[in-house]
Amino acid sequence: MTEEHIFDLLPGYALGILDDEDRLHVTTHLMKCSICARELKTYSAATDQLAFGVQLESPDPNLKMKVLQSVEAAARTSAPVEHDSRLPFFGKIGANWQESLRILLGRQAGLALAVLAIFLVLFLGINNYLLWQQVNDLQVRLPGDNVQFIRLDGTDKAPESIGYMIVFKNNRYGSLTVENVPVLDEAYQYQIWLMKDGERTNGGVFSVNDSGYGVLQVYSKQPLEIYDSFGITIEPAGGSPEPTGERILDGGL
Amino acid sequence: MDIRWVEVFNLEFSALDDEALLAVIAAEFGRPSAESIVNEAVLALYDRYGKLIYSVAYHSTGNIETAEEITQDVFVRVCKNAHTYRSEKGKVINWLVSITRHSSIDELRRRRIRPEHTQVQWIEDGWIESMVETSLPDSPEQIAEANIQQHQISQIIAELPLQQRQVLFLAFFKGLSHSQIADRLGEPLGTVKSRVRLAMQKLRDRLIDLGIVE
Repeated sequence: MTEEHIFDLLPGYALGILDDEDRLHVTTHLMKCSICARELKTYSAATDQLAFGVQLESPDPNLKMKVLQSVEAAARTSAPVEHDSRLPFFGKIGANWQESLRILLGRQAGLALAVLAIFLVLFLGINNYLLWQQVNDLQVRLPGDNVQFIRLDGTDKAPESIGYMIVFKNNRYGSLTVENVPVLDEAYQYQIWLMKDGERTNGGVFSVNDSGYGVLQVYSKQPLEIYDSFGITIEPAGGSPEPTGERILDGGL
Repeated sequence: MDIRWVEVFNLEFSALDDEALLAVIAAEFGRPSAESIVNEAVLALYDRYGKLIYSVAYHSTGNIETAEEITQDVFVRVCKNAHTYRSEKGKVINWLVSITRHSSIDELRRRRIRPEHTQVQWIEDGWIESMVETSLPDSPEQIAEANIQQHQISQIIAELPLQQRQVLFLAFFKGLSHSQIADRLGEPLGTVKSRVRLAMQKLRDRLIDLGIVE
């Protein structure tokens, strides 16, 4: 016997306002009914639009700054931290590790086990580090389906410098942002080179402000994603037909 | 190759689309050396949607201070969870509204605030102030199209019978269940369920007709 569809309950489910019994009934039904699942999708999409019907209110102008302060405060606490005994897991081990080690080392089998455990920890630690690097690299290179985020690292000439080239899928516009770049004399500017198969193409010149921060918006006749890599050199103001100065940043797709 | 480029300072983040801004935040949030980059991206998002987010929070909680706190919290959550955003699941603006709505409803429940007013606060005359700021990188035609779409949505809601708009408001902004709405309005539960269902059906069908919902 086929269970009847539950179309009448789907609007309330999409809004998240069903009472417990109905919500459970819908959730269970959706797992086995693709027709209702498709129907729900349309109601969920409609629910997403409801906010656009509200009367807009103007917030206090200071709210913008409060938002920024909250984000900055959160960023400070969200910075990567080393594992330490403040974390619950490590705290539990930390309280007992001396006692556990003393007992283990007091027995031959325990000693062998301890040595093995140390090797295992070292192996896992190195493995974890390598994986972390890969994940970090992927996060930077592929943050979304429609945009590529290419990191440009400072060369030996400017190791503190960092840059990002944002390239949109099938789009001829891109955005370059650099930070901690040396401030140049007025007679010089930075020039970005778009590289493909060893051929360098002028991507434009730019300067940086007193903090070493600068931006360049690039437009090309072809999508920027066709290029293999990007490099930034110091050139006479206005740019050069070919790179002549020192390379300070580079990175590739 | 003819490459045209435009050098801009302090305008670059307003030239990025929403997904690119989230990508920047996802990659840079928490890095001390990139604080200015994250700030610029957050400010660009705020300039576009801060008013909408605040309005949703305000109409949910009915309190200015709480709405401000929720708005701040939403942007912090956005920064912390930017890496979880998936474009295939919906637009950035819908993601932001969803976070705002759930944060607001959670706050209402946490503080055990009983919404005092049950008055409909949908936009009245079908006119909607532009929520899409002109700083978006889209062309003027795309911006106009987005504004027209928002205008259409507000009109659809405005055309619903008052009682249906009322239950939608209580459900969407206040997070009240069918039975809570029935209790609040002193109406039979079946009547409330019918109003919600009819309102959502009309809204969904009209949005499909307009091509806004597939």
